Amino acid sequence: MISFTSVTKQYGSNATLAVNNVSLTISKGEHFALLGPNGAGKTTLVKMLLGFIRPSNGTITLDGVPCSDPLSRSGIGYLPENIRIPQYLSGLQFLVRQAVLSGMHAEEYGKRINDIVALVGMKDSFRAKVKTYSKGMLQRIGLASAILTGTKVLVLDEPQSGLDPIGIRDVRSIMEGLRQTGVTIILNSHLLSEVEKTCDTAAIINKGAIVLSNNIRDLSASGETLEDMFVRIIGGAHA
Amino acid sequence: MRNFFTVTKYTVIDILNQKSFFVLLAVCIGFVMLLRGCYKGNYMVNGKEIDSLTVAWNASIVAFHVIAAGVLLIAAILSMGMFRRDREDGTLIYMMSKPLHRTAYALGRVCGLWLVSFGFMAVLHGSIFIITLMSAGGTMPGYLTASLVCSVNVFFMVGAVCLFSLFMPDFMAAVTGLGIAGIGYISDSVYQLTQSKLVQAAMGNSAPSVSWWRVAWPKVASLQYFAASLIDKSSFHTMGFIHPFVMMLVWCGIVIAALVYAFKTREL
Repeated sequence: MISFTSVTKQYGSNATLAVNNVSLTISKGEHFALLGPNGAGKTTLVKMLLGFIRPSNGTITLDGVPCSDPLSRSGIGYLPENIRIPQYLSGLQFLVRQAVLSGMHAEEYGKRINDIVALVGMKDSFRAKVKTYSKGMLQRIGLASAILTGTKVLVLDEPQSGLDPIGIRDVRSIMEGLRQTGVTIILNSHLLSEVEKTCDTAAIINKGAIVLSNNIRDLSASGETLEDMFVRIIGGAHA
Repeated sequence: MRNFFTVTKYTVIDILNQKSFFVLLAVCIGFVMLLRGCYKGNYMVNGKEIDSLTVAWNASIVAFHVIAAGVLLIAAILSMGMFRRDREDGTLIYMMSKPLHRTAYALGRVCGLWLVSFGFMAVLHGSIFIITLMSAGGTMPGYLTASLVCSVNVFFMVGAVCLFSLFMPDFMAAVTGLGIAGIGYISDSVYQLTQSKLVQAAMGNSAPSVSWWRVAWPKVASLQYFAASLIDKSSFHTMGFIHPFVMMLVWCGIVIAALVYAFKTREL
């Protein structure tokens, strides 16, 4: 279980709050979407969860372990927005490094890598150098690395970015497939139609604060699409 | 601990993937090879011919100092962009999103840089050792031990430049690190000179007292002079009461502690 308790993040002493008193609980196996306009605080929340930055106030725990402890990142897979990979590495070398740093043994990641590159459609090119990859291929190998190490939690920041329609559909079916494995997914995305199809719950964040958090089925039961609701809430707040 | 070794290994691999590193090494080996000419000349001092072994011996000592000082420049160049490169090419994010202690990351990077820089120096010193052996037929027993002693200087330079690069632009970090070493070279060299018999005799054994900051300053040059004394058994004078080897180990500890603290408290 992932828990954010009264989390606040302020950059500098007089700066505005990037995240303002956010409390959230994400259950094991839940597919959770974090929605909001650019600069709302979604990426800041993710960075705090991964220990890249520290909250000014409040606590974040993963299965009871505070996120300041590197052990909390065991079993977490992360796909950043605009993934960058050292150009001299091959896709395979990158995946092996990820697995080794996650504490996996050779016999454990050997077969898993083959299965995952097939899953993300990189079976034919994962041995090539990253510098030869297109944007879509980079995104796919990044997704592969997140799945490889994310045995408990997957944090996906705009996973469909740079993918063609087939790629977007592949990501959707991968996420559906992961549902059976019990992996928790935190998804940052602007593709609200995809969120509706793949996630169980969604929280809308604006100006650092959660303005709505609910089950997606409950949201759609009102007859309003997620996009309509997003525009109504965020549009109203921006007006 | 396992992750520390993993990061160290990846750091070495990452640097060895840079073609410019091998170009630099090849150029330096080329310069060292040019020294062979010095070993084969006929030298006369006060009308007396110097035998080839003495020439080789002295040329090798000079080369030892030039290489030990020059590798500090190489270490500074390699270290100055390490953390920036990691931020820009995504390495920092992919490593730190794993269960990896920031301490293991910072120490692994520094140790990897040190291993490569020391390897660079060992190859050049080793080349001189082999040239001396082949050209003059004599071995210099303390030569490689002296190179190992100088690796402490290299470690200090790597740690210092990595630390400074967290707070200032890469180039400034390298210049600051080299500046600290440069001041040490001037201060320590002047001290060694004033302690020589010739100068002592000229000054009537009334050498000026040494100010405290010179005693406390990183003893990069003193350690190098100490290392050279292991080769030629020449006299070596310790400034203050702490041996430069111990002093440099303490400075390395201070620099690494500051680096780890600064990196741990940083936002990525």
